[in-house]
Amino acid sequence: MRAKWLLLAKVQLLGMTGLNNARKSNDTRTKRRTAGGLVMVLVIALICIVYSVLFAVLLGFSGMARQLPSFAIALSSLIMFLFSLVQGCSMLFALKDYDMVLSLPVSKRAVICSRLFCTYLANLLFCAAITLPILIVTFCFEGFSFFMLGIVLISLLFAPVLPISIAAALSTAITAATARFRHKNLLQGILGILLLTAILVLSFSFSFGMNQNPDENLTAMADILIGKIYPPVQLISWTLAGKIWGIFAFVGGSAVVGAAFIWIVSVFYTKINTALLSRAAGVAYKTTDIKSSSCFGALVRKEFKRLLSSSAYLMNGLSGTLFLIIAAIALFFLDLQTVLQIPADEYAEFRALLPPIGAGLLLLLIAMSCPSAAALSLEGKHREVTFSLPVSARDLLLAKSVPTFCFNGAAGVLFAISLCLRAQADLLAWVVILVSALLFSLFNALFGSFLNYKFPKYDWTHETQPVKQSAPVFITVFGGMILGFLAIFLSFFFGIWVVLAIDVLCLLFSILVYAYFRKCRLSV
Amino acid sequence: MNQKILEIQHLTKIYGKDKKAVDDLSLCVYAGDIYGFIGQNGAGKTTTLRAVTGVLEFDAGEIFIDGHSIRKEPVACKSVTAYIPDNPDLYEFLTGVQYLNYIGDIFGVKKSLRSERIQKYADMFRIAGDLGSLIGSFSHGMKQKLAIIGALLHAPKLMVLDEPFVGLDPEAAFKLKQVFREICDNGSAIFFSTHVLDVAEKLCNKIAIIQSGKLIADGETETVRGNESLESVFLEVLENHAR
Repeated sequence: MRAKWLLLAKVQLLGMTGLNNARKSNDTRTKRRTAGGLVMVLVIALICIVYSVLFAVLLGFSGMARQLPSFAIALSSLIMFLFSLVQGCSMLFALKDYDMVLSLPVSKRAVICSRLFCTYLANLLFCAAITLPILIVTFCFEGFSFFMLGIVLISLLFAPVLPISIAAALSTAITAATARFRHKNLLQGILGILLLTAILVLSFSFSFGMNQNPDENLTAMADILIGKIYPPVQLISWTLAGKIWGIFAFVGGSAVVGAAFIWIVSVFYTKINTALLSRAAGVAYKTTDIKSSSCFGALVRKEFKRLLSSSAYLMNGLSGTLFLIIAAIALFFLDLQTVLQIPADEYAEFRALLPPIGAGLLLLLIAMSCPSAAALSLEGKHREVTFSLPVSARDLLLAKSVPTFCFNGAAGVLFAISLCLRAQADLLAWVVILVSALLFSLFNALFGSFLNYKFPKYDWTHETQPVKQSAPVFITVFGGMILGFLAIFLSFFFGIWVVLAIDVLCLLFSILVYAYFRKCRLSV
Repeated sequence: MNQKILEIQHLTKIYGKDKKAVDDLSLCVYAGDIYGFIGQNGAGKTTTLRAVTGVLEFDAGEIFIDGHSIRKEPVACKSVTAYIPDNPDLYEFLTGVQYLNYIGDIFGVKKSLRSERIQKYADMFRIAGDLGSLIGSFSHGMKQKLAIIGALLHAPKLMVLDEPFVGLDPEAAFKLKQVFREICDNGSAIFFSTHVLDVAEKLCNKIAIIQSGKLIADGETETVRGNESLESVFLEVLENHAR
């Protein structure tokens, strides 16, 4: 008989990938959506591979070929840790199928294992997409070695365990601490964002705190990543250098931490879920609390409340907004010349390039935050109620776009002001960048709603699925990232005019999407 | 049949700081019992049922299923229990038969027994023709029927059901009552909540009435209702306790 946790995990995977839906459904739209999702995953994997290879070649020519595998594991571990932290405990607690699963004759440890296994698999694939191409580049520089191949493959299998366990432990601590509060979801979101900010600031302070030679920036960064930011990977470096006990320590340490985490969480699993899933009923209202507003106003208010009432939605939906605010504050207070160690004679040239490059970064970060790409999917099983309201699909989709526009627009303007002040930008750059903050926020919000209308995912078991793993979110985030990088690249040749061109395109597409909304019909 | 299948001892569940959802509730369900659990909305019925199935942590008391403590031996308890919540959240991305196989695998039901029971109950509830479709395409009633078949698949000793008749068509409701009687005759027990007093009165041999978390009446149905209808007894008891 198969282990019960594997049976649970299999069902989780079927739900997560949507493959069963596509296989068993007669609906061609469902099949198309799943195929589209798969293509997207492949494109993302391809992007990861291309970036990894380019970076590895660069490091290889800098004389770091031997450290490349350790660097790849360290880099992917760090990214997995940050992603897992953003995901929070959504893979573990307060899932919609909690009652059904917990009433089955399976241990809590089996339930937790099955939940974590799906996250582990997703992270393993991501880690492989970074590590394996880098390993091939290493072989090109250093020659093929069975020993290195074996060590890297074993490391790869265990690499996601530590980042997932540590991130999930931190998130669980936040969840457990806030579970009994009335506004627990908002509190969890805020604490999660603060934790993420603290970790990012700490990581950056490691990099900026080093007194390094500017010519050795790349190699120094890799050294810092392996040695200071993610020390466990040193064990892999030592193994590759001949100290074979390192791999045993890495695998053993990962397994012990993972097992300890599962055991500790299993002790409190029901307690935390009970606290999270219990609603504080019986709070009376005062007649003065009753307010009225327009129909559209009511829809918008509901969308804001929806966003602020879910920690998973808040953290995944507004991470880019958070980075924009951090970047704006950093730009305002940090002296870029000192931080980036740019010689005084080169700084004037760099400062001239700063507005268009900053605008590219602005696009990239705004694209990272697109709650509207999941807002419609979040209606889930209760969509009948919303769709039967006497409001047009246009109003509904616009209302779903408003929070995205407001948060990104405000953070974008803040970043634009900070950027223009730091870069001592001319009037044209000021206008173009400020307008681009607003226009791209508008386009991003409307486009997110449009994509969610085209590719809705209503059959989720946790909000994380539409918020983090759905096609519209992938398209907006990665599409925006590509656009951002493209803008940064082109700005070296065309300066601020690239940003102006993107502004015009954003305006045109926003009008088109708005016009399309007028023809939309929402059906279950 | 006087074997205790479910024993709830002084169950107390507090939400927040002082909201007692269930207050010192004790009752016993024996093999062969069809035990109806009735009360107003928010009285504590669902909380009690969720505590019984091990889904909900409780603050005081103890629950035994077939002699096992739900706190100390949850898996042993759950192996002999089937639970259907008031709104079963079935996996919409699975087909009906995939879901039943999943439940069969988890409970370790043998393949031959599994297909025999699926066939029997799917025919009984007239859902056999839809089992190959995705659950997402099912109506509420069909989902309820599927959840019931899943619950019956491993021949549980105790069935815990929250409003099992909601969404069922009259024929399915009739069949479900028949199944209840059949499995109780074979030594199992049913503990279910309902708002349909007529059903409780005709179907259950025992009744418990809960109000504000407290058990205010329980026992043989005839004893609880006396010469009156269950409806008037229920309303009277609630009124007396509200004073």
